[in-house]
Amino acid sequence: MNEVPNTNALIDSLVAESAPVRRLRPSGLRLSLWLVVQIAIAAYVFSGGVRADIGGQLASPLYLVQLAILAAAITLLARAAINAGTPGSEAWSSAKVGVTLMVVALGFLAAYPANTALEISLFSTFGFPCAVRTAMLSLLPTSWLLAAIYRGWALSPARAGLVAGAAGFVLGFTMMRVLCALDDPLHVMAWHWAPVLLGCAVSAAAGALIFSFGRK
Amino acid sequence: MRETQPRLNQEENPVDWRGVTMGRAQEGDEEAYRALLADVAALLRRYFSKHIREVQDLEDVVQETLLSIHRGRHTYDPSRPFEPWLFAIARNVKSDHLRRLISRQSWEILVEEQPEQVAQPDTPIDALGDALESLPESQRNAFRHLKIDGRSVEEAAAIEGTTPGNLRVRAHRAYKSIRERLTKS
Repeated sequence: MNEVPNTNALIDSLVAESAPVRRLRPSGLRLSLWLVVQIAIAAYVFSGGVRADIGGQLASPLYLVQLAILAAAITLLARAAINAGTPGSEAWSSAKVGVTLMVVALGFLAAYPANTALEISLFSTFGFPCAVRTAMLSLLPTSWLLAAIYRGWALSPARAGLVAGAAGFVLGFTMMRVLCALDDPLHVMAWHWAPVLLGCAVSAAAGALIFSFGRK
Repeated sequence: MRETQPRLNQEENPVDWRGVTMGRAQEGDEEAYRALLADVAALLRRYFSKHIREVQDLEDVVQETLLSIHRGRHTYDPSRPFEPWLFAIARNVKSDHLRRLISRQSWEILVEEQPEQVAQPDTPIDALGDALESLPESQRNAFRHLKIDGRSVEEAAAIEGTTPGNLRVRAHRAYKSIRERLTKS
């Protein structure tokens, strides 16, 4: 069989270029680093001022449970994103649980009254800055996760990008729940949540592009 | 101080042996790396032979997996089992291979249809020429090497100064563009 010598030649050439490599840090350590980054961003943002009614909100179990669920979702999604860059590591079941928790947290918005009387121009005037802030707050954590995946090796590039975007943008969404005093579900869905969906799509496209290119 | 990996016996404990040996290979131990790749090549051949019958295809896929292992060897964590890492990569290479096979088959069907249309005015051959000219140079070269000059993927990749995987991607994109263009015309 003449194929085996080819494989042997390939092995020879791979061995010839087998310089020592810098291993990826353990995923637990990288997740801890990401949590530190996330806490630093949150501390910086909140030092500029939080929603005026934060005292009352923190006394509300509805609000606290919502934040706790979002925090769990972010951690699971970030873990999935980090693992997505390591072949053979569990990533997608964490991501599924994270997405489920995200949906549950959104379901809590139904408990708040909707303000349907607001004029469309005012709705946009109040809302647009929130969409911009959500995107700004999400950029750094998403980029950090994309860089962490790039350092490893994503076997499913678009999915890895999607999960990184989900973790980063849900973090931005969560911070906006602490910064913006408007709980109107219409406002939150249109100006806080829509940027999350858009961010996930962009991050998935970026992942497909960057990680596929990185493999070649 | 660098921690030295324990030396295990391959026959007695092949599973742990692979993980430990990969750990040593990551540190630049050539002997360990050679032994591991040879062992893994045999393992992969057994694994892929359940799904791929063609001997040349089988060997291509084994080689592609070895290249992938080499490229991604920094992602292996020696404190974790080696096999899940290896087979995640192998499965990925296998599904890429199957995708390429499907697209190659659809291209071959397209080529088989050409002779019947040669006699018609404004022939598909002209259209094929036009479609080829419209491609970016890298894709056009990939197509020419594989489909006109009859070179192997490895030869073509060496000429173009790229990897076989990348050359296949270029060729696949060329087939897709040509197919779309011919379907329209």
